[in-house]
Amino acid sequence: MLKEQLLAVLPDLDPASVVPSASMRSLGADSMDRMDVVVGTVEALGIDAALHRFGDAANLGELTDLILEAVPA
Amino acid sequence: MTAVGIEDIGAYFGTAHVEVGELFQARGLEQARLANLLMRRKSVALPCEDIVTMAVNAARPVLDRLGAEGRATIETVVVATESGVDLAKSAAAFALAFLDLPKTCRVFEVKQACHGGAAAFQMAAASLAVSPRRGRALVIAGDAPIPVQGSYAEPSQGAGAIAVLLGEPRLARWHADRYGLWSFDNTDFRRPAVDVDVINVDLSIMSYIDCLIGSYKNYSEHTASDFGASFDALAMHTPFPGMVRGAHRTAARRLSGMDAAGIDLDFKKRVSASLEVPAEVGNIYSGCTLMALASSLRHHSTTTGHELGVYSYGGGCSSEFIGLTASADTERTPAAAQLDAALSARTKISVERYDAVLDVARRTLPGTPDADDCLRGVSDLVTTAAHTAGPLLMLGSIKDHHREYLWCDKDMS
Repeated sequence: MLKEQLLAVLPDLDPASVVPSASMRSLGADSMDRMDVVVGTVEALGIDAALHRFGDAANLGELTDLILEAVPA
Repeated sequence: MTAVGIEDIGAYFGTAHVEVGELFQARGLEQARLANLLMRRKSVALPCEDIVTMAVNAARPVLDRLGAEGRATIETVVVATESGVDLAKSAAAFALAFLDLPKTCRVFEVKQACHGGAAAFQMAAASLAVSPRRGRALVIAGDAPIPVQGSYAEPSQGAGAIAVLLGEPRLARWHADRYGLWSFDNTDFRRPAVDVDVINVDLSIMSYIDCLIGSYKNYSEHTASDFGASFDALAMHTPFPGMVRGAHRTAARRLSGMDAAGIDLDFKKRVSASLEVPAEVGNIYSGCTLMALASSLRHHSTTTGHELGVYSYGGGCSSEFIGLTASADTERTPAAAQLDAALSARTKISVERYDAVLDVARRTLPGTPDADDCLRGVSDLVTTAAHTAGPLLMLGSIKDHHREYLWCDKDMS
């Protein structure tokens, strides 16, 4: 889902570059792009959590972990 | 309770600006990112400027219009800033010497990152509303950051101050019961030293949105308000206009269920007017929300008056959503004309000259014990701005930590 949102926001991105160790910043996403990716992902997954808990992720792997923790059971 | 509101607004946006597009090019920043910033120009602080000079230069036009009799009724002067020149004495106390105000006045400084200006506004308005004296309050908010050269933050780091005179509700009416609050502890923005900004951009943006939704929900719980229908205009804390567009997009979807086309229309109709001035000035931190409010009153004017929602956010973090009632024809007021004049008073400078200004900016930072001839190399910018703005207060020198200020006019040699 995260990858899908990222590719929707940055359609020119090479899907093979979207790996856990990459950060959205290193992939060329600016701050507004990153906001759209995070908000789009949590809304698509039905997560009703404060957004700031996703603000400290250093890379896509960490962001994925934080999102998985917040997915409703 | 006395009817209280915004009686007048003054603005000072420095003496010089750079084109943001030229700065992107000179720094080698990705041009694609410029579109999400929504900035056109940004104001530049000179080494002879600090929060005291900016506060005084923003307030002076308002006090000139008010006259001596009106000035005597001002009982509060508060300056909100993250760039205080002294850790004990407030910028308001420094400013008092240059504003021809009565001694029957309380003066203090407020700090809560970018929320400081709106927090001061709320406290000052409330104090007037419960006082039987029918006094006035002057709320000044602004900042003079040291830009981080080469960063993506630099193109939006502006300079300037807004002075809001609270008293008779000529421009907008304040309501004691129309506010919503949302604060929690985070570490998205800090300024541990006068020239060091530490920011977690992603955390800040997420917290901004959390607080917009949180403070608005708190507001609506007490006012039965509808985010999409209760306000004809919105003004929000604007670190850069693109941030507001992104936050509005999320809030409009979550709070009102708007679709993409509806959000776009709503942004143009209710929000874009508030971004006109910020797109010319950049981030003035504690003054951002009041600048967006002033921009909305200037560029979203109606013949009957309208409801205006104001959202303030400050890193750390604290936020407030405030409901005001804008008066009719706010675009045809002295405040609107002076807002335009404050922008046009600036001289466009090249990135090369901007860098030369930054090279000496640290000469006069708060805490500096001595600095001579602070106007050296920039007096032409000051005299040019004074042609439009009238006399401007500048920092002349610093001697043994004492800051010596002087008035500069268009004929200064």
